[in-house]
Amino acid sequence: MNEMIWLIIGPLLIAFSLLAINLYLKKIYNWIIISSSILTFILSCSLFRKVLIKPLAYSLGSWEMTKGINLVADPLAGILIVTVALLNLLIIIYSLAYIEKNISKYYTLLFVLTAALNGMILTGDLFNLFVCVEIVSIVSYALVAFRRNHKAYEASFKYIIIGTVGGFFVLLAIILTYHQTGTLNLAQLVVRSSDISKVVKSGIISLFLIGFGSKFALVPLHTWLPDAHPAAPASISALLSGIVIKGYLYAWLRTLLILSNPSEIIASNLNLILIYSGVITLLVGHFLAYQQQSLKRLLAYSSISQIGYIMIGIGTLTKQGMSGGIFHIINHALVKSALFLAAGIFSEKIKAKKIKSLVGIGYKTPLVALGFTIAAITLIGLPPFNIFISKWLIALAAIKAGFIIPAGAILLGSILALSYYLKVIKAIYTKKKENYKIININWRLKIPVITLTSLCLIIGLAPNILLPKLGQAVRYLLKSKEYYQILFTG
Amino acid sequence: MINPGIIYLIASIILYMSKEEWRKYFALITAVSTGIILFALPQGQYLQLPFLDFEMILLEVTAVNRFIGFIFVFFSIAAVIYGINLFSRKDYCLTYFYIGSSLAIIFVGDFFSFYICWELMTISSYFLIFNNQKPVTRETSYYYFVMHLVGAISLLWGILLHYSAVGTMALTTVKVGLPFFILAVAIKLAFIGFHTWLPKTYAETPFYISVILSAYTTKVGVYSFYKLLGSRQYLAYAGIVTAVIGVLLALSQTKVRKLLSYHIISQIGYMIVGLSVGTAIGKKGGLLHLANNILYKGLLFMIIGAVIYSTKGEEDLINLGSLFKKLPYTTVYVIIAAVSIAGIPFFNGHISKLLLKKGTNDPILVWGMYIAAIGTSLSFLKILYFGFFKSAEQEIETKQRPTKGMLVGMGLLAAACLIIGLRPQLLLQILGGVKKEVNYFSLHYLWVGLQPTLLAAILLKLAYQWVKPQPHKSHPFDLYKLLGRGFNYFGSKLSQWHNGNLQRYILWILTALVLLWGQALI
Amino acid sequence: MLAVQIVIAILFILGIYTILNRKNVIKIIMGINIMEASLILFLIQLSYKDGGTAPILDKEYELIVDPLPQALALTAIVIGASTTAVMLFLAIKLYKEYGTLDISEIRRLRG
Repeated sequence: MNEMIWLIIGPLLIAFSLLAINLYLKKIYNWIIISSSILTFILSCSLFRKVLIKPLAYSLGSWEMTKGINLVADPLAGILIVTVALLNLLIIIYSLAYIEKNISKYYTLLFVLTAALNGMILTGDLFNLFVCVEIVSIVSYALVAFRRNHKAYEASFKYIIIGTVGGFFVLLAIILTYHQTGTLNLAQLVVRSSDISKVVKSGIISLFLIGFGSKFALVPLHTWLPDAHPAAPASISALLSGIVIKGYLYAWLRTLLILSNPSEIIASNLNLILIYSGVITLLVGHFLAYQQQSLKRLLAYSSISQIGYIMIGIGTLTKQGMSGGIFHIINHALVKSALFLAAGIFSEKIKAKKIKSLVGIGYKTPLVALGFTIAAITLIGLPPFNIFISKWLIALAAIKAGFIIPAGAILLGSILALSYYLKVIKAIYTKKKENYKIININWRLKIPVITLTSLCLIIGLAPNILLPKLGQAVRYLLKSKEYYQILFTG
Repeated sequence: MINPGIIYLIASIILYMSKEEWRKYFALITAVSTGIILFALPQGQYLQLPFLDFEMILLEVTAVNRFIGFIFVFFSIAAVIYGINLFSRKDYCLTYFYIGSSLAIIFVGDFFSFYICWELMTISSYFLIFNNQKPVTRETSYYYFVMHLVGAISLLWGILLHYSAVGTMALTTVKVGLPFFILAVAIKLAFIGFHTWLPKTYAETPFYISVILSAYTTKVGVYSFYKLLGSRQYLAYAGIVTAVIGVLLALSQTKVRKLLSYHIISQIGYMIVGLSVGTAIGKKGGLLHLANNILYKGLLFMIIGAVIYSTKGEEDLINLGSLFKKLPYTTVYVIIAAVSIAGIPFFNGHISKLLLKKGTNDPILVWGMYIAAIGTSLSFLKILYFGFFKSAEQEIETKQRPTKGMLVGMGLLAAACLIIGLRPQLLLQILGGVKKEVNYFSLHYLWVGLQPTLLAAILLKLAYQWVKPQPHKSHPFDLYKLLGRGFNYFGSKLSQWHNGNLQRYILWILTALVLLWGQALI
Repeated sequence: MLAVQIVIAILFILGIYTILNRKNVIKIIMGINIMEASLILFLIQLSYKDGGTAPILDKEYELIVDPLPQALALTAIVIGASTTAVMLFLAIKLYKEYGTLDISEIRRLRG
């Protein structure tokens, strides 16, 4: 059995069969959701184990490698797939207690999202990449509007306009690529990308950066994110902030490094643009997060700033910096999901959305509040948690590559992040009354938060369980030509 | 072999989970047994752990860190006895975490774990200071954390520069990125100009917490000063400035804990002088002063704690008075502590101040220390007189007596002050001893030791009106708050640009595209 | 060919202009659709060959059009249609919630 194809088809099948199951087999509905997401998780783990040994390629419908639809997986894709599956599983556990209305639509959309994300990560040609990106986007638009209030509609509308315009840029870039090379297969593009004339290539790369950038919220293309992520239900915000924007980032990174190689990027000064856009992104994100009154909006701006760190890591184009950046992608996915899920518990159970109204929550929901606090401290970048390690790696790589100011900005970011997360922590542990009653919270809501925060600690204490694998992932990314040769010559 | 700090860190988790009635015994046993383990630790490097691409050295025992470790553990025993019935579960847990991380930082041998412990200290002390009953601590703890994080980030930046230039993580005197290390250490040990966090926080926490805080944070700063910066003459001048200004600021305070906080700053100045003049005696004097300062400053904080405890919250010298009738034991202790800090012979302050004086040759430094010593004596005469002996206009009521635990804890420290004062070699031999020629109790030195106090007594008489505790304004000007406001202003401007207009947002996207493409074409 | 390309460019710019300059939500959606149409036209134009036949792989037909862009165009149309559907749904809901279709008044989320 091939995991890759099942990782895409499986969730898709479940998504649409859920509609029928909802009608006829309502009793086992929850069991089916849980078991299928566990199954996805197991599949992804087994895929990850395989790709660590050797990258895999799979061709649909027994066409030739270069003609049909291909799926490819390398360690990087494997790691992301595992992250997606893990978050998906935890978010589904959470949603069982969290989502009360429109259940069947919700889970259908969620599974389509998973399938499309997996497709986006595994796909082997540009056009399928575009299709998957658009499916993920459309599902996200729908999920952002899921709450059915004016905020949700407005946020979703802004998201859809900006997202679609961004999508058109991506499509235009893909068309131009096809026009120039006559192929959309990634493996062939690696070889033929040198045919593209310099002017058109710079245009294609700019279009890809702006198109995908407006989907993964690079400043100044970030404006939809602080509206959209808070408007969605907390579980969806966790997914969007945690993994969806990282999926777009991954897609962009792949295309960038296939169309041009590191030495070309450095020659055209694109790496400077990436790094300094990262610096601007992280500063703007932090500054705006400090201004926020609403907790989820604060978290959304903080997500933007984290994209900045990742961009700096990637922009160094060295093995260390990139593995730091990718490590940061995973770490941030864990931490931000934990934060959003905890914020969801606060807003749902205690009706506290503003930071001011969080007062005393640390005594009403001690465990969740502790989880939130730990996650916040993690995200600030304090040791001994995982974000600290990835920031350390990125900053060190930036210094070694000669980017002193960006490295300084990474550290400065920690102080800025502290200034607003501390406001939240302060509110959480402020005591207004003498005695607070502990509110009973469903274990399904608690488990994901606790799991994610403890994962942060574990990875922070033993980063070496992940880092060598990331190094492997980056090797394939930086030398994409070799990678595809290995893949297609066996 | 285990880093003594790690014992505390593990204990803090166990303390959090243990039962109410076992907790205090367990806390005591941990502290005492750590002391015993510390005795048994031989010198050398142990516990190396590969991490990322370097080695973490979790335990490196030298004479100096064993010396400081002893004092830290001893003080923690006294402090735990002092607050044994006052600490709640949260307090025990956080206190042990805090002490553990500051003890661990003394014993680690590489920059990375040094930084980690540094941050753990900041985090745990933040939650110690953050006190949900007193609203004001929310602001002060925020201020504390931000300021300390600035220091920590500066340290991290220094470490990154050092590591990328030198290539090893071993904890040594730094060569690269010195300004950043100086900033980090300066914030930690509250140099004048970077000291604003200290009086704010120590004066507002519950008294048993400020006892603990007073001993560790700044002293870890001094240790890192010793370890990272080495001896640099210009830092000695910074130290003397700190000592003098600290004492002057202390003199104008009426709240006892604020006064003591400024004294910490001033005493730190002494230590810096000792550590940076570059002579062996000066260095030993500085380290011994560190130990002494932990003992008597901790004792003083305990005493004022006992006063606060028995009067239910009164610590203003304007209102206090004639406490000697009501708190006899405490009065004995306060005399011992005040005499020690003033440097009167046969008490421990005398010894270390003498060593510091022997170690320095620069007349500016000597005179500076002299002035600071007069100020110190004066302010403690002030505490003694106005707090304990002068009869107050309104008799202050004592509502409860200090607990036995408090008295025992204070007694331990007072005894240590006396023992070190009489037999300094006991402690100094850990550091390798001092050459015989310093005869602490020769008549000349006795006279030198008494001088500042006598001068201070005369000053108290002459300038009574000026010294008398009187209501005063606290400093409204704070540069760091101004910086914060600027940061906020910039953010709000940025926020206004995001005015929710979709077309503006799309225009940004198109502009970015045009700029990007245009730049690539050029 | 050139004429077609000019038309494509005009359509694309027209779409962007509409998105930027019209206040009405529906007109913005129309602008998006104009942009999309121009892109699809571009795709078709790429594969077009004078006198080419449908891509049947047989020896009889020598001159065939490139099938790939056509497949892509179909997919792009499907994606565009579904996006438009979601957009129109949102436009209806926005009108119900805000009582207006003026995009410059739909800005409660800001900062």
